[in-house]
Amino acid sequence: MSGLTPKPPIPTFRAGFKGMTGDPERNRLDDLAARIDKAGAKPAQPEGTEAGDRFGLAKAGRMGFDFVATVMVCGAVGFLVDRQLGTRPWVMLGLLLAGFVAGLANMWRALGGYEQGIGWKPKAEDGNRKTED
Amino acid sequence: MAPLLDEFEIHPLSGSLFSAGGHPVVFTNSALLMLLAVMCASLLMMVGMRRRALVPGRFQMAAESIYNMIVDMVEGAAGKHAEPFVPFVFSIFVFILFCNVLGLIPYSFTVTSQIIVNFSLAIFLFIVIIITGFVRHGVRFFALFAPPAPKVMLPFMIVVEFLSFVVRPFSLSIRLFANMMAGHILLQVFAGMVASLLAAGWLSGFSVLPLLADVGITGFELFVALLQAYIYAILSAVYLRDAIEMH
Repeated sequence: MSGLTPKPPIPTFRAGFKGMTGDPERNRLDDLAARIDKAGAKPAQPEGTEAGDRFGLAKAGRMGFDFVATVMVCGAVGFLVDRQLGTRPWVMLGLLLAGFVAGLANMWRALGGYEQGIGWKPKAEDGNRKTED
Repeated sequence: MAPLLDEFEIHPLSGSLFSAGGHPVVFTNSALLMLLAVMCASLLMMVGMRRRALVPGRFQMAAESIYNMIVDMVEGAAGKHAEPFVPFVFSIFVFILFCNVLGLIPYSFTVTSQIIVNFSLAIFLFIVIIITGFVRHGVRFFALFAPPAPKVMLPFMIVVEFLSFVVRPFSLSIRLFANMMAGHILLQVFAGMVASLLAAGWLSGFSVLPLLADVGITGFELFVALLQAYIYAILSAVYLRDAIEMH
């Protein structure tokens, strides 16, 4: 703000003070504030979009991956346990199956709008959906 | 063509500094890039917040928008009571973001392509989640693993929920690692094609095609770097929600 005239002293606050209409600096700032408010006003969110999930792509990207990762991690852990205990291949098979189920359950939960929390919690800001439907 | 995985190799930049548990501790290129990431992040924040102008400049704008984005995200994903965790998620986001973006500079090193780095961050996050859960809910935190279900199904459900919980740090770290590594390998494969085509006599004119593809992929990788940092942060917030507010 180098091109402006030196600021006048800021007026002290009085009851009923509505901004000094004669003060160009103050007017400029009020105008700016109004314009910022207008520009920052959020467009109405379309129905059904998840708050806090700005990129739908972020959700899509993690959906399939979570499923695969769950199965793979369970399989790997099962493999290691088997090798330690000499129970090949039973622990791995069991964990693979459990991982498959867990992965599917998580995907189902995420798609159903329960977000990614563990446990079938009521839907966010909805409150009346308790369990799966 | 240079060996494909050379760029992911960690090599020491110093001699042994001290030894921990019988292993020498050295300063590596990975450590250097982590240090650089932290320095860049701190610099952005310090420069951005230096003037605290009413009408923000470029750096202040950048710092403020990152901060606002994280605050909105944590509030949206982890609930109203998650405010104390905003700095935590913010740090995770900015660190990963700078590691990803700095890794795109040629001849640098991508820290987040090392699964152990991501896994350490994820394990730290889960220690925080477990401690928070027990501090806030005590033993009732275990109820997280017992969803409302018919009695017959309960043992199975507990196994499923427990697995979902345990797998999370792994999937969180593998996702970031796989994305960064895949992108860099793709870049290098196309760059290698440019080199091979240039040496292929009358075909050398075609080398412009993989070059153009590489330019495009570089832009895409910048997007992936941002997106993956965002996903890591939002999932941290989502997972924190379990510990903060239960049923």
